Amino acid sequence: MNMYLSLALTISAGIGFGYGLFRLFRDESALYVRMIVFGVGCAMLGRLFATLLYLVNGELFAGFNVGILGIIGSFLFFFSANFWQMDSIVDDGSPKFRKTRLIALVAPLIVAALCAVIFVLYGFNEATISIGIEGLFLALASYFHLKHLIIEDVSFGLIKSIRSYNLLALVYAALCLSEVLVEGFELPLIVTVLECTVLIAFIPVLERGMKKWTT
Amino acid sequence: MDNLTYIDFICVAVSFALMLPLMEKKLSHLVVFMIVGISSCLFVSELNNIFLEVFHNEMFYVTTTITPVTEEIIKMIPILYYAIVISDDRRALIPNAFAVGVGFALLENVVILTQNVENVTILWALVRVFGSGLVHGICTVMVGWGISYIKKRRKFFYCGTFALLSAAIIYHATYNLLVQSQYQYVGVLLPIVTYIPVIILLKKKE
Repeated sequence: MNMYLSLALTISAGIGFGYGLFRLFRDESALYVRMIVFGVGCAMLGRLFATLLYLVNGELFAGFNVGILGIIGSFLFFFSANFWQMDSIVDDGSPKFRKTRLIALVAPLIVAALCAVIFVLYGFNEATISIGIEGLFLALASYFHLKHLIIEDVSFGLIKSIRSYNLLALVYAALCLSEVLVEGFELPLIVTVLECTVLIAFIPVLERGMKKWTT
Repeated sequence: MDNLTYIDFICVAVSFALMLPLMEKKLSHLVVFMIVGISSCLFVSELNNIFLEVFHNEMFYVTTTITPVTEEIIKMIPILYYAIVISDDRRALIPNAFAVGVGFALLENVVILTQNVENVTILWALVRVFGSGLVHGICTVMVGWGISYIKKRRKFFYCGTFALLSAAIIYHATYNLLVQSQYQYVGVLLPIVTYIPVIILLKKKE
């Protein structure tokens, strides 16, 4: 069962990445969009390895497997896109955004709390430490996703155009963590279905928003 | 008998090093990078032995989880160094990156050959060359090509470097996983199937 769920995630990420690549080659996309596309590509690679590991080994290794690097890579791309590319445009560092910055801290704090729950439930071992490392990148990315979701739109509708994407990315981050929380280290069906939907929807949603902004 | 890996290293690396004074600059870069690849392999073999001991000789786990990480990180360092310090020109970086991978695979194959000299066949040689040999080459080319791209885009650099490394690690681990399974033929075909589009893509870019 887990192998098929993992395969579904691989295919969904593959569809998202393939569509993103197709759009990249067809139109000259913004660097921000490109980074998100590569992020989905990273997720696809990670899921592909997990699927093959299920196929060959019957189960994932109890601790670290290199598929986790794909998930970390995807969140690093999402973080970089928001931090390097978008944040300097939407937040000039002035005190008027102080409240927004503080509220945005809720997202990484929730990630930290969920990681703490995982550590309490399963103790400190190779698997939970891997999840802790994954959580670190997830927390970094989720801070900016929440910030760009709630920040006042002062940049001619730019933030408004990527709000749906940031909401999706936040949901994806929560789903990645709940994969572990809901049923131990097994892939739960409902979480997988939702993750598949998000992975397919990422690029079209982002693209629609960017189109609204540029036209 | 002394350590076979070191004997192999001396036989291969010193022979290449002796060629260097006779070569023109561009060609000598390639040979230097091959020697770097050979040396990386020697270093990684020691590192992997330590990890093998740490993980109680669990060969399957170590070869699908640990060795791809150590090997790709060590192979990436000279390419990253060359791109940052010397030149990020794609025309120089990609052949040099491939030379690191080929050098690495060369010593790896020689070491495995000398350790299993009674069991090797022509088929074994073909599988090694078109399988693991190409995997090392493709991984380093992927990293070299990617670095030449991200080096010019600062905002891309950190996440891009990590993503490239992750992609190379996952690709390598996938190969190692498949060749040790009942799907080993798929594993052997994987690098060949990847090599052709990579070459076409790189030639097109030229």
